[in-house]
Amino acid sequence: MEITAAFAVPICHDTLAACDRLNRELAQLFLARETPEYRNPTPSHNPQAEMFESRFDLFTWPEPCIQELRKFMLESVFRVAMAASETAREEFARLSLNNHTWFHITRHSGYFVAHNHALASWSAVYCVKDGVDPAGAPSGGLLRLFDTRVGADAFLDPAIQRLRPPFVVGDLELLLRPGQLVVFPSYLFHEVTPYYGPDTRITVASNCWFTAESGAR
Amino acid sequence: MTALAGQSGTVPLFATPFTAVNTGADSLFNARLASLCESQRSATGVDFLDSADAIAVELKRLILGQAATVVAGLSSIGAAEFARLHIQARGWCSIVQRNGHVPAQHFPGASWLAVYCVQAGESDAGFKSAGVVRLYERRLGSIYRDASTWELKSPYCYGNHTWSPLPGWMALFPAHLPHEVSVVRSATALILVFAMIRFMDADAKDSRKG
Repeated sequence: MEITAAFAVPICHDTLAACDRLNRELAQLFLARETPEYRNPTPSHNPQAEMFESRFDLFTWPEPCIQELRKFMLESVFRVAMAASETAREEFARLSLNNHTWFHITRHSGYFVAHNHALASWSAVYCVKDGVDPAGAPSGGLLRLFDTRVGADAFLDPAIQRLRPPFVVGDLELLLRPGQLVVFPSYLFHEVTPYYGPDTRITVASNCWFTAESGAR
Repeated sequence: MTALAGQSGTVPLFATPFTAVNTGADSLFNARLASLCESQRSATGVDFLDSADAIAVELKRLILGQAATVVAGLSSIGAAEFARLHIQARGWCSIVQRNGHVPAQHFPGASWLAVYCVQAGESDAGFKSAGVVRLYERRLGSIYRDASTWELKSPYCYGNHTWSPLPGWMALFPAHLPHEVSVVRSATALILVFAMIRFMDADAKDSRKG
């Protein structure tokens, strides 16, 4: 007998080592540019005063800290996408990786509603600052990735109430720490739960798509 | 089901029923209900609809009566047979203060979820979609869109569905649907009563056959 995990969703966790200096520089830059000039002019969801969303051209900024983060995030996305694909490595390596990338600054009770990202294949979220309470009080601000199997647990009997990973049905809640990166398929619905910490929560998000020839979509 | 066999036309396939109905409950009723909810703030594991309090008994009658009417209208079994079904329900109230919310939830073991609004305040200026019941879009096909599908009209459009609770109104939808109550931005607490509902065969007490 063999049990396999069919219909699996690839999710990659990575961490940028020795990220304190980079995160300090990023936080300083983002807070300085939390202005109308840099705000996303066409938000897809109702904007809130408690969450600032930048334009989607973050990785075109020339600042060294941005380019350092760009290298880490996009290389991770590339590696994840290649690892999850049956396409030969040399063929995959010829693909061009395109991205929309932005930053979020979240203050008390800010959140981001459940959504996914059309016309992208891989999404990534990097944590610059978690904003958690040093005393350890729950601060919210979780990245919640929703299980794709909606309704699969509508009927539960004693045999399936406690399925073990990877078969358990349920959402994945991540409290990202500074330097942590998560990469997941863009079709996956996700949200950021309300942040109740005492400071600010700062993240960088990227939507990526590959093309067979160079040039952005 | 074969839709529109032999006919021309467009129909919403795989549709999800969502109902919002004005129960007709008045402000006095809701004020008494709000007091009862406040009094049960520290109660845990209590079935709100099982309370002997007269106002809870009346609310149960109201919710189950509305739910039965709506669901009977959605079912293809006859009215007489539907009337013989036995309704089971379990309820609880949520009091959501300013900046509070009810996180994503859904409920196994029930077919319907009723959400009755006891109290709701006006959101502060500048806040949109505050204190709403938001049902999550989960159709993964939304990942591809072109110029023709980006802004499909209802009921074909992609996106979450929101319902703004008003006192005396009730929403009803399938219990398995993930939903939340978004962050409340009002000085007045949002008070909702949730009820998980299922209909059982009157004889077998279980809708499963075979």
